[in-house]
Amino acid sequence: MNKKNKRSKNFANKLHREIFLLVVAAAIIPAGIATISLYYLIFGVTAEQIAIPEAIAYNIIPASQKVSSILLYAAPLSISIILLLTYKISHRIIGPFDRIVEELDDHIKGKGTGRIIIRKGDKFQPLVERINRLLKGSVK
Amino acid sequence: MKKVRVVHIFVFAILLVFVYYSYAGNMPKWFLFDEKSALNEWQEKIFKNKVLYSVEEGLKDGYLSAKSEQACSGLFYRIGFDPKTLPMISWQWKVVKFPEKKGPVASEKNGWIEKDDYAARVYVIFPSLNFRRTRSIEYIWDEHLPEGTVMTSPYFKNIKLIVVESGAGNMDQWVLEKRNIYEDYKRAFGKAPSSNVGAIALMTDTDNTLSTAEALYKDIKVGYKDE
Repeated sequence: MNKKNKRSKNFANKLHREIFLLVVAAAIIPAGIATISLYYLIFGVTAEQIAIPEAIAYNIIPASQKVSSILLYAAPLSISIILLLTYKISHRIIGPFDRIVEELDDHIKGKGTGRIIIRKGDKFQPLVERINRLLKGSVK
Repeated sequence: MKKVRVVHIFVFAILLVFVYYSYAGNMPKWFLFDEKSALNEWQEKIFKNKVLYSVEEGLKDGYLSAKSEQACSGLFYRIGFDPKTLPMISWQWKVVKFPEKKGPVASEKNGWIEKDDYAARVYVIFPSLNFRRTRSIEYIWDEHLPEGTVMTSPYFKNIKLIVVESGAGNMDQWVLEKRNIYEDYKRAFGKAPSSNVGAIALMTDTDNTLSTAEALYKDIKVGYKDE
């Protein structure tokens, strides 16, 4: 990776931040709502039906504590995985996008190298290949 | 525009007052158990096996009979009132047979769950949206524990038991109990209740001692001011 392509901030630009937030929100908010709803449905409603405090304490509370402790470990882990994957994948999208824009700008100004270099695993490989072919033709 | 807003607030306030009075207007609630259909308004909640609850119509008045044979189920009634403004509950009960416990209950020790059976108990339940924060006080008649004992249930810290009648001295006699729920709650939990009373319940249970017990209840009055 050349120096030009190295990122200095966590987010390359506003679009990167928006994609990241959108994916994270789309993954975490519905999951959170579903978890709270299921928790309430399973434990809250059952407790309301059982009604006798000792029966609730004997049957429902131990089960809810177990589920809560699982959630306590599983939620941060799954959220971390979602954040990490979102960050990595959004970088693979935004990185080449920025480089295409920069190279095309340089090309318009007549300063272009004639080739867009993207990292291995970046998205838009076929698009970049075709643009490179176009740029190569226009430089000639 | 300001006038419209004032009208809206006024209408909303009137609605609130109306709802409050129609809600509190049913208090106090009196359960006489003087006819067979009296049990229709109660729900039976079963923990382990069914206790035989039946209304016995007497010549003068009726009563509720509870016979437990290695069972644990209770009668549950949903209600709603503010214990601060309507703090009183009263009832009459009679113990015919106590559950067979081996020796006195070690109230502060763990491992006494197997002795958590009482000939008669009356629950006052303070529900919460989060069921783990639901609290309840239970008035019990125990053969061994001294009167006035306040202890935490072996099942859960939010259940407090208050011994209001002790021993077999008054066995086979109707005993009248009158309690201030608000004060009892403060004594048991160390602070005033943060929610309304949401239910009351009655229970005679013998599931832990695997024995039999029998008790009678009548004339339960709940949600009134002490005059």
